[in-house]
Amino acid sequence: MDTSAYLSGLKYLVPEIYLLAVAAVSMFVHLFVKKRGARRAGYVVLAGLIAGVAVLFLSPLSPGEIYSGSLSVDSFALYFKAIFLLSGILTLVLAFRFFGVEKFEAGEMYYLIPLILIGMTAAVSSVDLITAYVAFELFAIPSYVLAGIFKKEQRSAEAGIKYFFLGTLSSGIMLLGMALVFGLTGETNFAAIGKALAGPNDHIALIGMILFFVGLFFKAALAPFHMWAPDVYEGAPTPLVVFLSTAPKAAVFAMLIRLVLTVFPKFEVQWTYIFQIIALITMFWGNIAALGQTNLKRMMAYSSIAHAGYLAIGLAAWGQLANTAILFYLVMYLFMNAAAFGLILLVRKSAGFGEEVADLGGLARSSPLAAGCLLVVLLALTGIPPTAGFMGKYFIFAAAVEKGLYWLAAAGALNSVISLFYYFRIGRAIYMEEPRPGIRFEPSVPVLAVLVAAAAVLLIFGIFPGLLTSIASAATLIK
Amino acid sequence: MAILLFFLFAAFAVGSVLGMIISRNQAYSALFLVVAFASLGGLFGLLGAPFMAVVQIIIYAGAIMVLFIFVIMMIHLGEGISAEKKKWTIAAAVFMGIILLAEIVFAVKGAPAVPMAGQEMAGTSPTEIGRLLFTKYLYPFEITSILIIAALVGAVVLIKKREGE
Amino acid sequence: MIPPGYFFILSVVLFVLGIIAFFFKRDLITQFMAIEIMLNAANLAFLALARSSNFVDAQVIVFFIITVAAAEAAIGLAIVLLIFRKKKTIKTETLNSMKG
Repeated sequence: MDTSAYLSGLKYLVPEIYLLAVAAVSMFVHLFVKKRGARRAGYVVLAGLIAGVAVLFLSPLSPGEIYSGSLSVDSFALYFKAIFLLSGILTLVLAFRFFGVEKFEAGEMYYLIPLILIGMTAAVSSVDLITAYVAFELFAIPSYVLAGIFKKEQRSAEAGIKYFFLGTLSSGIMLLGMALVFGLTGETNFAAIGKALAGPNDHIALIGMILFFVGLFFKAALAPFHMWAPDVYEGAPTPLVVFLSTAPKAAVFAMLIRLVLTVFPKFEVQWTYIFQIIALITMFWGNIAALGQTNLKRMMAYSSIAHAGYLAIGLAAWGQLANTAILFYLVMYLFMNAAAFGLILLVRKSAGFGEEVADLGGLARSSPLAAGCLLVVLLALTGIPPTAGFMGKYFIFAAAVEKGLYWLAAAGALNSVISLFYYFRIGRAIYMEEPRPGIRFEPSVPVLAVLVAAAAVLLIFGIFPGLLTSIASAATLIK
Repeated sequence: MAILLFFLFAAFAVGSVLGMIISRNQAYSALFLVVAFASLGGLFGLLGAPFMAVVQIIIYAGAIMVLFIFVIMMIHLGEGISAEKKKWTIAAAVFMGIILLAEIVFAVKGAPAVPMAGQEMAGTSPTEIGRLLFTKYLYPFEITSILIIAALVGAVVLIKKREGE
Repeated sequence: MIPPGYFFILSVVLFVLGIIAFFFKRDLITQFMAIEIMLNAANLAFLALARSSNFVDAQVIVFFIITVAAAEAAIGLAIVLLIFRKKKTIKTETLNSMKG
């Protein structure tokens, strides 16, 4: 048997192998370093992920599909891998603060993150049904553990079990969809399936596609499959929510883009309708449900659902412009979410952190820097210039208008107005309300670093969006 | 002969799944499930996949169900938990089930690709499966190994009791 | 011989029974068993549908699915045990500390 093709393919897998090595080193540090082993394992992972950005840019792109059509390491995959690494870095920085204060640190969490990142990097570059399934499960299964890892808090266990049950239910449904798609064609490679589907067999392939998408919609928390998200985001430890609410969503959107482009081009009319409906329901559901929340984590959970709805408009308005918009918005979404959940780590109570919106009262007086950064973040979340949140929404709505989906763009704009009401409540609490008794603000360095980074990114790309759109448009799959 | 075996296994599978739903005691549910998995193994064999039949029985009916039964023993609930009483959840479940079933039956009717006529079912040797596993599917195979590490670490961290707890 | 279509219809029946069981039962362990039934039904669907086209690949896929299901079972049962330790029960309706 000829093994040279497998060995020479290894150089395209450098990021995955590197992440595995980071996880392994961190695991050994956790096992064998007696003094503060858990925290040091975390430092290893953080250093590893920061260096990983460099590794990512040095690793080569594959010429087409490698490993018998299992994966394709293209610039699209590379772009998403960078998003995942950034998400991991922001999460870890916040995690040190959170678990340090709570005095409950499970070192395992730190090396589960690079393992999940391997699953995501494999998922975004996979062009094969079975690779996609296994990679999808590699980032799904350990993320149930992350949701339930904070054993001090009962809500964390509940978040874990809800995430697990609805996640596995949805992956079961996805599997049946895969069975239909695979059974009709007898192929596992995406492009080969797409070619084979071009023939008849409409009904069963269409049902297969819908079931397949249901599984992915669940993971991306798109309504009406978002029921788990508010509970999981409220119950899971805050820094890990930053991870769970951004990276899997990005991975699922990458998988959806690849799937509709290569496997289901035949059903373009049908999936365009599906994405339109999903986008509409998700935006309205997320924003309207967020209006009534008093818990900040729950409010931001609904807000992140609504933002997934804006991203789904990008899928409905399929095209080069819309794809660029999705890639741009995902990066901004990562920073907005990191700051929005990270802000909770500023608010200290006698035990733990304050999670109510009203707990933010008086933040502007005690920490003007944090309040200033949060103002930028809130403007970006609402979609007000000169922030990148505005540019992201502008690109997505422009893509919708270009495709003649005026009503969808109008619904998106209407939703931005609805969202103003609850983002304004956060802003009012920060700037205008009196501090609550028993609450004090501790602007610790890691949290401030994340807030400043988020505000800087949102401002820079809001004023000079071309810096990122040029990269994003080069990374789209549609040329 | 084979068709009789098919209906026997199918009846066992459906019957034991129904038994699992009706039973109030988790231990009985788990035993019903072992029967269902074993009869599915038989069906795999009838389809001409003897290797998968063996894997199904060893891993599912054997390993995974033993895990379930261990957990049920650790939890020992005494009396069982009756099924859902809220009317709307039952209605929703039955409704979803009927929709899905109708969709698929409709699809099968409209699809010429699902062969409804019989054909010869030659078995597949494990050698072929093994060769595919280490050539065409080498990459997902490696990813699966990472998944198993992650699952091991995850299960340990969730169950382990540490100081200060 | 037996038409593969029969196997496929059986797999859909089992899948639907799994979904019904998931919503019908009120304890976490049996609900998890219902999910396992769904995964098994999907396996049967893979084998039945691929019988005429690409049977060997279908078997490899089922092999992967069984492996993933084993990993999933380990995590799922660990989380169920964690819930049991916290709440001393595994009834679904006790999972109510978050509302809204």
